[in-house]
Amino acid sequence: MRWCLCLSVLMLWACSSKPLHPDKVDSLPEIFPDYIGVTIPVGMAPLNFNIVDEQIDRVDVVARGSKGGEIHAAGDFADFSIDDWHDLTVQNRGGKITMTVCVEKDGKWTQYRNFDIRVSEASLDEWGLTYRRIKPGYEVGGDIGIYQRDLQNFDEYAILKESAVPGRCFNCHTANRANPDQLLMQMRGEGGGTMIQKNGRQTWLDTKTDSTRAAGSYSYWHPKGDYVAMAVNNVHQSFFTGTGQRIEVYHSFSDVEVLDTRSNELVLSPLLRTDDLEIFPAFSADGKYIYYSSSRPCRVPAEYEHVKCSLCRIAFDAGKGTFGETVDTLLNGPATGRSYVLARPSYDGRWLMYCVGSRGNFPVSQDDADLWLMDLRTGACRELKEVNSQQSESFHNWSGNSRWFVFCSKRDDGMYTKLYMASIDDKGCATKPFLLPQRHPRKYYREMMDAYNCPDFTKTKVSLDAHEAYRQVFDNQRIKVKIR
Amino acid sequence: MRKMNERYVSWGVSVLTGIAIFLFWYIAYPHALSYHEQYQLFLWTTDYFIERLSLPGGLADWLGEFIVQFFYVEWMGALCLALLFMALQWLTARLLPRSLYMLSVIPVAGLWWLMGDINVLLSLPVAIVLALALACVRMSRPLSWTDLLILPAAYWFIGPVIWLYVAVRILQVGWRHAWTVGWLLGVQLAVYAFMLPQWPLQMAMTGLNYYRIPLHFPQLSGYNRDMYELIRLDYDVRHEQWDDIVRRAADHQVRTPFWCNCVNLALAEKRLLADRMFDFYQSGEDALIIARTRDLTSMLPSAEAFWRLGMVNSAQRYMFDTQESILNARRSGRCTKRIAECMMVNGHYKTAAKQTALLKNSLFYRQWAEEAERLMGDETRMNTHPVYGRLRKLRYKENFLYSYGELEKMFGLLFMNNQENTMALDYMMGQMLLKGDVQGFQHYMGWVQRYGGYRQMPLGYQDAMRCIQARGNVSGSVYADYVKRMMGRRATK
Repeated sequence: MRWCLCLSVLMLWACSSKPLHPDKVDSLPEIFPDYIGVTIPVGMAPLNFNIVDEQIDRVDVVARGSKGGEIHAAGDFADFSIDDWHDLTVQNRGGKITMTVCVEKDGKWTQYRNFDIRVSEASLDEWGLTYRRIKPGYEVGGDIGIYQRDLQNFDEYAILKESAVPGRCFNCHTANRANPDQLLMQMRGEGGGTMIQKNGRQTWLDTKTDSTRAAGSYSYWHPKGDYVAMAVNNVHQSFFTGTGQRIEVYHSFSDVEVLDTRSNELVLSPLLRTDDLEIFPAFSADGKYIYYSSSRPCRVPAEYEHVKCSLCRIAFDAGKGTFGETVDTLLNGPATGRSYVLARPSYDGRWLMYCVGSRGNFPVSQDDADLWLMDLRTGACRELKEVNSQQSESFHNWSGNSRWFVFCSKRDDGMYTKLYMASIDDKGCATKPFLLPQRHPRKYYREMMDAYNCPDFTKTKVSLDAHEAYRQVFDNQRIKVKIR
Repeated sequence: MRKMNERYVSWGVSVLTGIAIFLFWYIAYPHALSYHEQYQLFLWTTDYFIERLSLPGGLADWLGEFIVQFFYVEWMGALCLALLFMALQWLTARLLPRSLYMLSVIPVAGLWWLMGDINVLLSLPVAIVLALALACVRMSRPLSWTDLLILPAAYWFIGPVIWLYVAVRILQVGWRHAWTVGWLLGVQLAVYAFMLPQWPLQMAMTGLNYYRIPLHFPQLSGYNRDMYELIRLDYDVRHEQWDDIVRRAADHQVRTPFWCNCVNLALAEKRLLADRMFDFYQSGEDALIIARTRDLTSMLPSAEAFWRLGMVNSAQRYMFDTQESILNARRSGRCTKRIAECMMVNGHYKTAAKQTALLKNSLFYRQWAEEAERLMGDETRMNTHPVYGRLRKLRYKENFLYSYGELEKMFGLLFMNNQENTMALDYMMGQMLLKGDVQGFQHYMGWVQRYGGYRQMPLGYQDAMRCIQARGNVSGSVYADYVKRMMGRRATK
């Protein structure tokens, strides 16, 4: 009996191929996602990866921490145990994890040059991410949905899917500084409206008034949670005939307004309701200013190349609910021949991240849109070259401690936007971004026919009663907002 | 002897039912099968199976879609339906008293009529058959309590059609079994409350995927001639049956832009557009290409026209939006394949590979997907490919914004790009006539003479010129009739 057992173990050992004497090559392995040299927070889901070459027989990976600990994964792809990975990151906070990758192909093992994954000192305290998933199509959203993802593992949960409110298009979900206790979402078309959820209670508003040109859209919460800044606009698309950029998104008008969520009143300023297009408002970290973009009116779509947004700022007094009387232009679009859009101040008040492109006010559709960073203490700006790619980067948002940010990028294939995260240090230097980990990355991203947009961190899991949303949408009873 | 006769009769009824159903779908309505198939891409993957089974009615849904994939080959689709309906008839017969055997064809006839509503999905007949099959399992009265366990499971696999089973059981066992009504209702409500957070109550109670349009119910409309004629034309466009389209158009007109798009595309493919366009009904400026419409059918012929003209991006856009307009969130094999082709022509191989990876999991698109993947990245083979290589020569060289209001100019630019693209020339002239752009039409007649490849001026253009020169006062002019109709329409607006 004992001999049988030994024989079985021996046979098992013989069958499970291991890289005993691999050929060593002085090149890095080609892996998907490209996690070579990235920096991650403690507790992040395992950075599982595939070898790009799909003809391999097997991969064998040893992850060794600079401060101790070692884990091992082997198989068709590098699939680490979640608990073991977490332990390794905890043990190596501020250190690095060195990956030794061996690949078996045609019965022959090859060991590649080791690479490192750094584990940041900076923590990421959020539970996860929220984002919208939508087909990267044209004018029909398809099976749209807002989802949330636990960053410690690979679990994804629907917050609101189209199946809950059939035939409706929803967008621009916005939490207050990643706190889902204050959540806002817009729904377009028939039965549309603005949903504001505070502490679990949904309120559905009609934010279109006789004095404003449309209902609210792109939104941003005031840090105290009483106000929401919104753009009011009309969005359109045109389509290129060439083989590069597919779509030009433009707005025929756009204003900015502020909604007082306590009284459901709109606070307006003539400075934000000009013939120019004011768009993408965001409150400063202290809530005393609203950053936004502004462009001269053009005959769109014919003059789509002339749309150049400046980055502006206007004071806001939350105590009185009033705007300042002057507008500061921080970055002048027409003067520099660029377009500055989607300003997002870090929550510690130190940085302002924004998109820069050659034109337009909708960076996710602009191939040349890149992320830039302004130091709000000095006003110095620089391109985040360590983060950008040849494709569009956009829809960035900060973590609660302002040490991490998430953004969308089309770098992988130019069409299906994916989520990337990176950290930033006190000098404003970002680390190499890493793609949102998945258990089986190649399978997941290959089969994923949705594009991600509007990502944001969330401190806790979002709770939204989709059945109640359905009732509200189809009852179509809206509280009309008033002008203050 | 009498028993033997009864058996022959029962077999006879079943076989006749099967033959009738087979012939109906195979001979008369193969296009309906194609319509269903093109909006339900069945994937042979575990994930697909699990995804279906994660919702109530999932097994019926999965089986329905499994069968629908065979609609790609019409005789197989018709055979599957014949067998399904025979099963329905046979199960009904088993549940009926022997004397009422002939009544077993009534559900078959009813369901057959119900399926005239093209949005009724096959999951509904499958669910009905499964529910009846379950009811056919003999259960003695002492074991009737097992429905306590059977009903939740059956509801999950079959969906709300399981009410049919409840009704049959009550008839079989008696009113003492009526407790199952409350039990099933409770099960449905509990599932809605705790397991279907992203679905409305109405759908949880009446079925998530028996009908293609959420929150709507089947209509007893039967086989509406006009609607099925349009489906037939789309089927012909898909299979490039241009002669059939022209022949059918002469017999029966359905006065919609969709019909015009199909007929005009067929005429263009036969190089008859210039001659005969106005011999047929023309709906207006949208008769060649329809404006973007949010539904799952309207844009298909225009997308096919774009593809053949060389307007690859527009073909991709229309196919993409059609795909995303499938309200039950299923994928379309036809659209996905064309989207992949557009991406390949444009050299977007990474995104094309995503589409082909999906198609490789299907039965009938797999071979094409594998061949397409071998082509990707091989520029020499792509450029010499009879379809893709030709389209690369036809497509726009310049990058500008598409404008539906200026279609004739877009067709003109396409023709200037490649003067072998006579279809673009025909579409340009046709669009000018549809818009009543008389000056433009006259101006570009020279192009027709020079590049059109016609031995003589096409009859349709001769008619239009006569009409223009006589300011519309030409008796028997088909173009004059069109202009008058359009002017009349404008006047009434």
